[in-house]
Amino acid sequence: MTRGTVCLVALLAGAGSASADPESDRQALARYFEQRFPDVEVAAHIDGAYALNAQTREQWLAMEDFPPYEFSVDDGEVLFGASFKDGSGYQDCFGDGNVKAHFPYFDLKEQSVVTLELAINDCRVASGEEPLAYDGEDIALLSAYMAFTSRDSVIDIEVPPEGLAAYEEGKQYYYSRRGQLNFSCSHCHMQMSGMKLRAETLSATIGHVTHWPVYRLKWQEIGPLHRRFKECNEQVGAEGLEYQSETYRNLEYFLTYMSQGLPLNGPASRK
Amino acid sequence: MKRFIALSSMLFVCLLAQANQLTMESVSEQILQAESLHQEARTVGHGWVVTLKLIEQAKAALADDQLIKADELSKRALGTALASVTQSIKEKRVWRSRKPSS
Repeated sequence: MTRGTVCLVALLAGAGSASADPESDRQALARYFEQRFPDVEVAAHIDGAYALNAQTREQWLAMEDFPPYEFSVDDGEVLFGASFKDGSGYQDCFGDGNVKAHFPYFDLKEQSVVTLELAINDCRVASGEEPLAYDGEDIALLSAYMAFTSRDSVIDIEVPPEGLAAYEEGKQYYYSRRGQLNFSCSHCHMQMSGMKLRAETLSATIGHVTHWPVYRLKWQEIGPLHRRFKECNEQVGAEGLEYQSETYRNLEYFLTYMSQGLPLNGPASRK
Repeated sequence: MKRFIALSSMLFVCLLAQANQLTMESVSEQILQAESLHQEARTVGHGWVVTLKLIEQAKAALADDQLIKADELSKRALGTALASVTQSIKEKRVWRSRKPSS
């Protein structure tokens, strides 16, 4: 191998590792939003669009006096406390349920990203129970309860070297244009964040994952993050993917790292 | 008037000739091509909702013996499928330019 080839390989390897540095990505994104919204603290973005529009924030805070997700948390608590046929239960897998800060994580054995919903079903299957449907009500209720018990915990996930490829795939998905409208997630939630799309203010990327599952007035029920991913895809004319598909899990992994260090505040209500 | 009749006759003959070129097979082939391209885009996460809709509509028109309509719809499906594949290829190259610089 010539010296020139060695240099080229070293340069390419350097470029590869530079593109896969989650902490640099997170800091760059935080700086982007600090510059875009100098009057809004980065941590305030956990409230989504309500951090950017005083008038809608006031309405939202009024709605939070009687939060529409309250019954979902109660119902989730009942499900969480129920025993499986073999006598075990969710507590054996998740303790008191305050575990959301460490999800999703990269499973070295499975070589894939494990979200909280996936872990709930893994817990069930390990005890001989049927997995829950990812688009069903029960899994949303369980995760609502677990989000509630995890409130105020700070997001603390890791991206090990083995998980970098999954993280990068999530990142690529976020920044790629798709659908007939030719929009990427970043077009709405970075370049146009704070601006109006019809009557709605577009939220910032940072803080996107802190408050799920969400009771959306549009849905009239509580639903998971992947439902919103699918809906966003369809809004730009792209085909939505299956809940908990590898692509959506990788996207959640990337977005969660972008909110690393922010407090969890789910479940929440949104329009 | 004679000129009008002549022109109308020519137009009629042209339309008839065009319709004669269309066959169930040629339109079916067009639909298959659109489906194949759509699948190609879909496997890399770039499938478009409109393509699937147009393919379904083209198939329905074909099943209903509406050859001209099926032809038009399948051509549109082919166009959007091609655009979605182009999008997927281009995005592989340019997506990085959208992330904030470190």
